[in-house]
Amino acid sequence: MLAIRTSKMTKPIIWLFGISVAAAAFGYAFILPGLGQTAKNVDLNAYSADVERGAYVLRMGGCVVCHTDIDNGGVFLAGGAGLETPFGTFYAPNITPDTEHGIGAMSLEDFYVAMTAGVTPDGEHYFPSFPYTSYGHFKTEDIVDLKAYLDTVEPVARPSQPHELIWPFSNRQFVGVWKSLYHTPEPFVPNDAESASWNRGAYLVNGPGHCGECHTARNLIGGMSTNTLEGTGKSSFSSGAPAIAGSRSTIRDWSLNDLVFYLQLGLTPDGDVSGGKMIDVIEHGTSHLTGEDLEAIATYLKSL
Amino acid sequence: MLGRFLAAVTLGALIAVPGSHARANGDSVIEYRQHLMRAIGGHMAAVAAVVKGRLPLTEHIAEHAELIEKAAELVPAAFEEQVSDGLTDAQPEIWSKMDEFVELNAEMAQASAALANAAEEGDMRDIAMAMQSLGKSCGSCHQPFRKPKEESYKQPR
Repeated sequence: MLAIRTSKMTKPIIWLFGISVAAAAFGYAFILPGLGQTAKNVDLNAYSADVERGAYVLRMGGCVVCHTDIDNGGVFLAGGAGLETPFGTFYAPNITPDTEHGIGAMSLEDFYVAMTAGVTPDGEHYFPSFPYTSYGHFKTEDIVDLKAYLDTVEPVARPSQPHELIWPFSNRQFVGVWKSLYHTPEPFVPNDAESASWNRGAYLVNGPGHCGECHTARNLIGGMSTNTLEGTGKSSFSSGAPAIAGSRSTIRDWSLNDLVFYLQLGLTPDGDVSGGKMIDVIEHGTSHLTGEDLEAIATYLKSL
Repeated sequence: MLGRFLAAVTLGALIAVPGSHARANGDSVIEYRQHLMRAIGGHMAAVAAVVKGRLPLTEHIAEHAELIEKAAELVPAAFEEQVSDGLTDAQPEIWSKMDEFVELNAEMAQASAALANAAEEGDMRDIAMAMQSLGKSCGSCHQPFRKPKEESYKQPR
């Protein structure tokens, strides 16, 4: 008797379960891939590319730091060393114009969508280790110049190393959900109340320079805190980058000149040197920028 | 009279610091190491101040660089005894990889000699390059052997 009664009860439960599984499968297959796909419609042909400026944009974006295996003498832009995170190890791919292993087959449109929306030419999501959350603020002309420069780099037929991630973070489908929460690719809007230098600095810091990707704390699924640039703290879920804004800023007592000097040579005002990833960021990124741009970065950071 | 008596007592106490007390000894080792490192950092900061401020003291840069080279000679002995507990950022790896530590220190001494040379030549561009490589050599030893800032004992807990 008892057995019959339970089986009567289980039937609708099985049905309910079946329907939820089907709904989840539908969502997974058809809704998730569509999330976070939006790229702005812009006329990329409105700009004439400048290769030399593109080489400078590469330094503004700090691209070399991740896309070259610096410590092991890797070939320029042919793929980087691992970036270790709580989700596993990410390997920045080969971005030389090799058509098979690099990005030589990418059109300018593909490249623009990759940089701003974080979507591959095949319509898949890049993982947010590729900092499109910041690159989304890139000026269109800078992207055009950067692509023109990358097309002139020596192509290298070196396969990109696949990421080594733990499930469920290894699943690109879920990145769409992440993007709908944390990725808003809006072009940089200047603040007219501030100086031209401040605005240039704000653009460099929050857009190409992507400083917040390391200097802002992240939550358990890697979303950035709203305490932008206020450091990751000790206990938090990240690389341990110090605060460069807010009340705990480690650069509060630094002069503008100190900060410019630091971004050129990596020396702090108290005679110490930069540590961790910042060593590479300075050597392969900021030390290549003009004094004017470094002053702009310093002006902006000092105002936070 | 009382003053002289007190002075005698204080001096006596100083001399009678118990050498057998391991804790106090460890603290003194740490204190010395930190001041030695700060002295190097101080010279580095002084060089930076001359360059940053475009001060007419270019010839001082060579002096500071030579003093850094001198100070580097003191580093291996300062770190001979393993003291990695207490208020220090020294990583225990210093003592498990002492050869590497000593080698990196020697490279730092060479980099400061190179800075002294550049400063004597007087070309600001070369000086900046030499400072950069000296800074890098400091970092190359801090990276494996000094606790990162976020884990420093100086951080409030």
